[in-house]
Amino acid sequence: MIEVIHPGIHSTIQDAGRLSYREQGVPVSGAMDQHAYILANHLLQHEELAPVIEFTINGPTLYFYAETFIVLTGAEFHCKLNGKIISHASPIYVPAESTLEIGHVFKGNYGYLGILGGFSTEKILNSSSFHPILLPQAKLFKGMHLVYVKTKFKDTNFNARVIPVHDKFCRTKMDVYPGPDFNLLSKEQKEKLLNQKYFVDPSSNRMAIQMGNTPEISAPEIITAPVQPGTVQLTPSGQLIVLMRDAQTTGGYSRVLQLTDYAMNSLSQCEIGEGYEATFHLI
Amino acid sequence: MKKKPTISQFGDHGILLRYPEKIDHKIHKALTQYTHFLCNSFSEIIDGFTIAYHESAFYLKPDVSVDIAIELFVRKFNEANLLEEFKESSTLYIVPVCYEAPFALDIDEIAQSKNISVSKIIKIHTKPIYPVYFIGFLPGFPYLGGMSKKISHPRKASPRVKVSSGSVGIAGTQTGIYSSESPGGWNIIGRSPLNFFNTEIKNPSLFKAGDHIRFESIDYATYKNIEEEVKSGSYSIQKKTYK
Repeated sequence: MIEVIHPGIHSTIQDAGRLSYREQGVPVSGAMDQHAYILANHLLQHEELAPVIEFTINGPTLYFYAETFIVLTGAEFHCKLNGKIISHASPIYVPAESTLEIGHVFKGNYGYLGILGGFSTEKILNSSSFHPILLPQAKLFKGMHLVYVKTKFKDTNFNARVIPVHDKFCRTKMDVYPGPDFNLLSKEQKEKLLNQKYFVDPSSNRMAIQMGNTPEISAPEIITAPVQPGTVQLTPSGQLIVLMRDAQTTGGYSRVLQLTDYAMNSLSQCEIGEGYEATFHLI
Repeated sequence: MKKKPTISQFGDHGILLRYPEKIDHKIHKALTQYTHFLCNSFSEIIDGFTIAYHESAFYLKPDVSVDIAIELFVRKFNEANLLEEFKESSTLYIVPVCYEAPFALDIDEIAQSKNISVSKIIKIHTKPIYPVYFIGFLPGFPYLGGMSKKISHPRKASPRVKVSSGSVGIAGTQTGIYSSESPGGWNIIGRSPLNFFNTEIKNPSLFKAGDHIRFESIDYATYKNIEEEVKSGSYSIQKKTYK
C-alpha cells in the first residue's frame, strides 16, 4: 500500500481510458501522454497495460509501506527517493518504508509513475481513469491510500533505461489530418491555419489545449457533431482549441483539423507559454 | 431516406459517416440505423462510436487499419438494403418532472417574456413525444428534438456555476435534461427525480439515440415520493414500445 503524504497540484490515476461508452456521452479520459503511459508499463514488463499516477507542475509525495519497483516516465520532475535523486525512465527498486518526493517539473508537462503490478484502484466503466463527472473526488488527496497488484519483477535486468525523446518537449511539429469541417475554410484561411507558429496557452487543461498566437481567421458554428481527443476546433471568435482526453464526445465548433496520436502525445508535453513554437503539418 | 451516408477517415482510428448538415428526423433515423448496423456487423474491430444529428463516428481498435475498415464498411453498405431488413423498434419513456419551486428557476422569466402563463408552458412542454437524437455534452444528457417554438428562449447570458442533476432546461429551441450536476447556461423549468446516468449498471445512460420520451408534470409531493423510490431502487420508469 502507498499513502499520499502530499497530493501535488493535480495528480490522478490514469490508463488507456473509457473507449466503449462514447455513444452514452462518456468522455474518453486516460493518460494525456499515452506514449509515456505505455512506456511505463513496458519498462515494468507488464503483459497488460495497468493504471499509473499522472501528475503535472508539482508532483505528489508518497510513502511506500512495502518494497516494490517503480518507474517514472513522461515529463521530467525533480524526484527524490529517501532524499536521493533518482533517474527517469528506468525501473527503480523501492525499499519498504520509503518516501518518494516528486517535486517541480523541469521538462514537459505530464509525468507518470508506474508501479510494479499496476494500481488497482476502483474501476468505473472498465477504466481506472479519474474524471470529475464520474468521481466526486477526482484527484489524489492527502492521506489517501493507494493499493496495487502484488507481483514479482520478471526480469532481473532492471537497469534497462530508455533515452527520452527530448525534441518533442520543445519544438513541436504536429502531424494533422484535415478535419471534417476543413473545407468550410477558404484556401487563404487554410494557408494561414497551417503556416502559423502557435504556442500553448497557460489556460490549457486535461479537457482542452488552447493555442496562442492564432491567425486572424474564424469559422462558423456547426450543428453538433462527433468530436474526439485531438480534434482541433476553430470558433466564430477565432479561438483555436485542441480537444484532449477529458473532452466531451460531441461539439458545435468547426472541426478544422485532427491530430495524429503521436502529435497529441507531443502536444500534451509541449512547453507552455510564449516562445515555444508549434506548427500544424498536414499529412 | 434511401441515400446512404458518405464514409471518410477521421484521425488515426476514426471513421465518419456523414449526411448533409441538417437537423432532420429522417436523416437521423437512417444514420442511427446504418451506425447500429455497422457496429453489429464489425463489433470485433470497433472500440466505440458516437452518434449526433447528421454524423456518426466509429473508433476502431488500435491495431486495425482505417483503410481496410473503410473498404469493409463500403462493401457491407453495397450488399445491404437496410431499411427493409433492419427495422428497429423504439422505446417511449415517460419522464416525471416537477415544474414547481424550488426547481423551476427560470419558468417565470420565460412566461413573462413570452407573455403566456406558467401552466401554459407546462402544457406545451409536456405535449410532444420528443425523439432522443443522441447523448452528449454530459454522460447521459439527451439531445431532444421537436420542442415547440412557442416556448423557445435564448440561453442565459452567463451560465450558472452549478445546475443540479435532473434539471430540465430550455436553450433556444432545444430542450434537455442535466444528467449530472454541471455548470450550465440552459433555462431551468423543472426537475425530474430520476437517475439518468448510473455507472453501476451495464448501460449507464437511461436513454440512447433513437429512443423517445414524453414529460409528465408531477407535484412536489410526488417528486419526493419518486425520489425516495429511486434511492431505494424500487422505482421503475414507465415505458412502452413506440412504433
